[in-house]
Amino acid sequence: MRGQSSKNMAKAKIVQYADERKTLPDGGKLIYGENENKIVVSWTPPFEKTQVFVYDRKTGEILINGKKGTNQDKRTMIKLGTYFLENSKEEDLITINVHTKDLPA
Amino acid sequence: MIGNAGNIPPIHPHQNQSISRPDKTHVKQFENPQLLTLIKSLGINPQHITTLSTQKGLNISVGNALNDIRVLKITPEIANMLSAIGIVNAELAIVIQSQEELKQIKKKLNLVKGSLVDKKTLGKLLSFLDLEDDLDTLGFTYEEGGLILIRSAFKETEESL
Repeated sequence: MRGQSSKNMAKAKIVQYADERKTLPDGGKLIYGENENKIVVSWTPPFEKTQVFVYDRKTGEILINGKKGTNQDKRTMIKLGTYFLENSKEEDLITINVHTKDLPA
Repeated sequence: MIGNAGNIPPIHPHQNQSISRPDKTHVKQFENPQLLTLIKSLGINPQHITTLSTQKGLNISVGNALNDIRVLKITPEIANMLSAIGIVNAELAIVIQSQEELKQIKKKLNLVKGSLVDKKTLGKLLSFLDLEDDLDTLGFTYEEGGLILIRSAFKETEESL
């Protein structure tokens, strides 16, 4: 995002499979989001509730489903990310850039 | 690629020329909205199409951008062949001969699919990023890929341990 004008700078980026029906080999779904302050991983295991990991890039703290987490939760998030990276191809993914709509003059 | 795009009538380029704009550019207008959507989704401005030809079935050549797309109506023979590989109720088949064109179309279609991300899911994720604005005030653009972004983020998280 660096180097872009503030007008065009994305407020956040979200990465997921372009085909929403696609899942990881174990049937789970992972959606990744980030902005300059946070990294968010939304993980939905098959037939279970979604877990949301929120890593604060400034403080280094992690929240899991809104509650303060531990280093073990960070490791779990990294493990999920590694699993996702190992099982995903670049061409299967889409990055959604979120920005503020230009206001009419 | 197979899609339920409805029955596409044969295209007759000369009949499709604009009647309302009899200027020198002879802008063609497509009567079939599905074909128009398909062409737009491939990133081609319909007004820039210089050649549109039809042959047996629907054989379309679109300018220099995509030279060999064949849109076939599903005949009983094709339907039988498709059902053997588990595709049923298809009404339209697009046959692409060039791998490069196939890649290009896959990429474009992925972007189109991605643009249909469920707003509820998107809204939830954005709230975790403290972007609780009304979705209507936000704009979205899409690009293929994202592995590097994720790899970099997890490396950053790992370094905090």
